[in-house]
Amino acid sequence: MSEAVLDIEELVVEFGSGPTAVRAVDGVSLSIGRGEIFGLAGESGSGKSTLMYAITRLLPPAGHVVSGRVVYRPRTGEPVDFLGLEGRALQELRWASMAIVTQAAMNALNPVLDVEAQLTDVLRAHGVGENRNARHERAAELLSIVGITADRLRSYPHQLSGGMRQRVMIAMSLALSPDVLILDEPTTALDVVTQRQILEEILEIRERLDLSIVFVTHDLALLFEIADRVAVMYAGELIEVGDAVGLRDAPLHPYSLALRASFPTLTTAPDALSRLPGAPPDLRALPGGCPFHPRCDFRDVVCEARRPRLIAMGDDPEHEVACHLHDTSVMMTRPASVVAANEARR
Amino acid sequence: MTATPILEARALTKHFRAGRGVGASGSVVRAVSHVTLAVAPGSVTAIVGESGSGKSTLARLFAQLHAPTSGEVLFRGAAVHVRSARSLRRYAKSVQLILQDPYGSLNPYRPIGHTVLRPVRVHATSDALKAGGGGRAEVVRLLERVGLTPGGDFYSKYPHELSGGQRQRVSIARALAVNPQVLIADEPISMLDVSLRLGVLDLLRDLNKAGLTIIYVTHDLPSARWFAQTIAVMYAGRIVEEGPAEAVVNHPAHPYTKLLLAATPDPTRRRPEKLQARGEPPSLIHLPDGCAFHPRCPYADERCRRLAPPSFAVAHAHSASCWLHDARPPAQETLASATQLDNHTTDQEGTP
Repeated sequence: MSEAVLDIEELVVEFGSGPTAVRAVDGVSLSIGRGEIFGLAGESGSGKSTLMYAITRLLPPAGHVVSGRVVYRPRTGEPVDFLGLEGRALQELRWASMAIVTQAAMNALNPVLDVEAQLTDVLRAHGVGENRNARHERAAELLSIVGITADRLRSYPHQLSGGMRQRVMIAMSLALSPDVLILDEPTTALDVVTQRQILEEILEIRERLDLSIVFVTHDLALLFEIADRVAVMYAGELIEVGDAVGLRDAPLHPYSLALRASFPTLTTAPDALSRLPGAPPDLRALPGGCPFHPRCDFRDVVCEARRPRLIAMGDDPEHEVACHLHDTSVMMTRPASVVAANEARR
Repeated sequence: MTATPILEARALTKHFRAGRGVGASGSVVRAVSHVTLAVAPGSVTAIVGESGSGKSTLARLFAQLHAPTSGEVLFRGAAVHVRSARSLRRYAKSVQLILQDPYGSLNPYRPIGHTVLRPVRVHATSDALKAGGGGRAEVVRLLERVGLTPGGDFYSKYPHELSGGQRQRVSIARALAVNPQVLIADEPISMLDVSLRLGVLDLLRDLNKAGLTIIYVTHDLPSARWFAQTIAVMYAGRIVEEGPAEAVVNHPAHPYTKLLLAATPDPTRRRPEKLQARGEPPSLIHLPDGCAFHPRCPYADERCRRLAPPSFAVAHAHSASCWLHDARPPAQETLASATQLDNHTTDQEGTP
């Protein structure tokens, strides 16, 4: 990974308070490198969206950060703890440092204003462009980055397809040239061809504007294609982080393994799939020990008792996994293949 | 296909009068146009398309929830005429439809036992009711059939107590209550978490092995290839390609199918090639003349702009509605590309 632009340290997020509080993010530490595409995968309820809302300070009411830091490292100047900012300081830095586009973002456009009014509104609010003309120019430029011609500035949201509306939102997120662009399921509601076109544009944007992209999705196949590094989230924790190709070819956590084998691709052999038993856990009633143990084929007594920590694997400090199977200091029964792999790694 | 198709569409067309939207009044949405498709008994047939391709309308036409504008649906070789609630009920005993949204299709105020009991009672065979508890025993059997065991426990649960996968199983149990011969599943897994999808597909596969014919409507080519023997690809209300699943995926004949395949995420490749065709599907109110795909097609020529292509055979049981596959001498400029395409489609035969 390159130099970090964002460091998330031991972040804990809860909804509600007291004994009924639900812990949606449980001690997540993560670094986003400058210029990288970081993929965050997880099913619904895994906490992936909550994590993104927490770091952009957009948590809905009832959600609050219990502990942890989100350190933003600008190109020039001192690192800032994003969670410590309030009022004007937050307003100045948010969107200019990190911008976010959510799955439903395309429905957030104001139906009675045209695209130009909505784009220039962002620019004016943040003091970009000295006059109307400059802002018009900038709005046209932003649209061209996402592959939309300037004549669409005059269009109203209902005149645009879902894919176009989502592109307008991406254009809006780029308005202040952020260092980090967070895309939370940006293409999930779109058709596959539209999705591919937007992905191509995102890859180009990364090249052209030299920004980091955090791409959040449930679609692991898609992340393996476009991300540099991938993290898998389960029940509020990161359970595996590593290089995309490494994680694709040799996933370590039983959940990552099972996820990879649980969806057909265009080349899957007829019987190469195996389904995951059970369902994603209810965060209000998490099982003790490792949250994945009730669905795990390799579980042992220790998995029911102790929660595994995210640790680096031997020779590759960037490939981390939270599973007792790979922590040789934990005594448990392991399949021969895992024992051999652990030996080889030492 | 030698046996009589269990379900068949002949030149099936459905037009909707557009609503009162801006600039839409008085216009016609051509949702499904001249679709001809035969479904073999005991098979899994996938209808694949993007949103707005007409695939859900076709599913509803097959289920007789829409009356066709023209053309007809045949069940076991006989034209279906549903004109009354009674004839619809009779037809629904044979052909059942399940929908995408397992959250919206179950009554939240009723335990699922009640939901499944309704069709058992409405379509009561005397056996089911005699089996005990005024149908309760039959409902428990159905719940266990779809993997909700023990059925007795699930009987009194409410939809909010179930996961998405379990809810979709309830809607499958409800469809099975009438012991149908055909099950039409419209995007049955697209709203489920990834780890639950395969479970529902596996269940559908088991039901198919037990003799149930399934029409699988989806936007997802990989799962269609994995699950179905036949794939029909829809674009702008028409079937543009139809063939054995492996042939359609490995030797696509229609440029649109190629575009879909190129856009489908494939974890085995990194940073794939740029798409050849761009743009978006046309509005069903303003369909382009000629082939509806021509504005996006890299091979389009004058004929494509003027004339809608008929279906051409490209291999055994494999056809595509594209002028590139016209065996008569094509226009000069497309000769090269057409030859290329033919090379792709001649090296396979029959059903894998």
